[in-house]
Amino acid sequence: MSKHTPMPDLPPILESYRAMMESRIGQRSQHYLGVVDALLIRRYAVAIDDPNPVYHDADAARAAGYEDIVAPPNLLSAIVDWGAGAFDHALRSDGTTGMGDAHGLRIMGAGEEMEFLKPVVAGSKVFAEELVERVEVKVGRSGPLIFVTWAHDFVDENNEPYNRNHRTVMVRL
Amino acid sequence: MQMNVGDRLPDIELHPSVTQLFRFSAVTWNSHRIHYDIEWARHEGHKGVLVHSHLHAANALRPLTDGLGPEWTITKAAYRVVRPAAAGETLIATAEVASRNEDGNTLEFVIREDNASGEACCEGTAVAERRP
Repeated sequence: MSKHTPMPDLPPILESYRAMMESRIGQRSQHYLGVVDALLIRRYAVAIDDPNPVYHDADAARAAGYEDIVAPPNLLSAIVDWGAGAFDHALRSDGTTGMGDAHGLRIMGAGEEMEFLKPVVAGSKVFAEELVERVEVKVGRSGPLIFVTWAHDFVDENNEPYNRNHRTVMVRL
Repeated sequence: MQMNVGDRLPDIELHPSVTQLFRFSAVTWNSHRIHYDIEWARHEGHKGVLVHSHLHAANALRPLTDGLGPEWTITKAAYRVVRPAAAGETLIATAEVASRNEDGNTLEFVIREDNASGEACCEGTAVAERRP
């Protein structure tokens, strides 16, 4: 983990966000996310427009050596909120939540490193550990950018890992 | 299937629609308005409702999951979203073997998802292993 020195001319709203996220570096949180059921897998496969039978048909998945229908590789990381979510009035104006206090800032996913260690099949229980790993400031064509990288470990009830991921989000004015 | 360095899996052409982006937002419980609210997306300076970073990733991995078949599994992937894409664009996902181990049972691919102008929207790498 490394802490980045803030740019001297970072606008106050970005500097405030950077400082807040940097203060969270190293803090771990653990959650029970829930069960990935067959309907979630099928809906995710439909949403990525992928008719691969191992995502939709239990017999096809078993013929391919899985216990049941299996999730596309990045299903776990793609789900933004595993709970009920915030009420409308509690969302930021851009509709996001759970990213820290980012009012007035624009947020976009920038990339991810993913390790797939065990297939996620229908009925899998999923727990996650989350950690803010680093906060970096860069300058893009549109001005300063903040890159926040989280580590997400997704495991089963026996702590066997499904995925180990490092996800980076870009925040700018 | 035996693949060598430089071999390319069949390309996948994708046509993200407004409806697809809405359903991707819904199933991932992602309420970020840049993905389904055209006025908000334009307010943020985007050309249209944007393809989600995770959907870019799913698209970029598609040549592997389609082209290699069920006897292979993806064990690692890393990607960067380098250019936004909006609903209505045509995207082309490609995967080319960058390296392989001696027995050919572990393959590393360079993966890309380009727009219709050939500009990369998403680029990265992925490793696939033959399942035991």
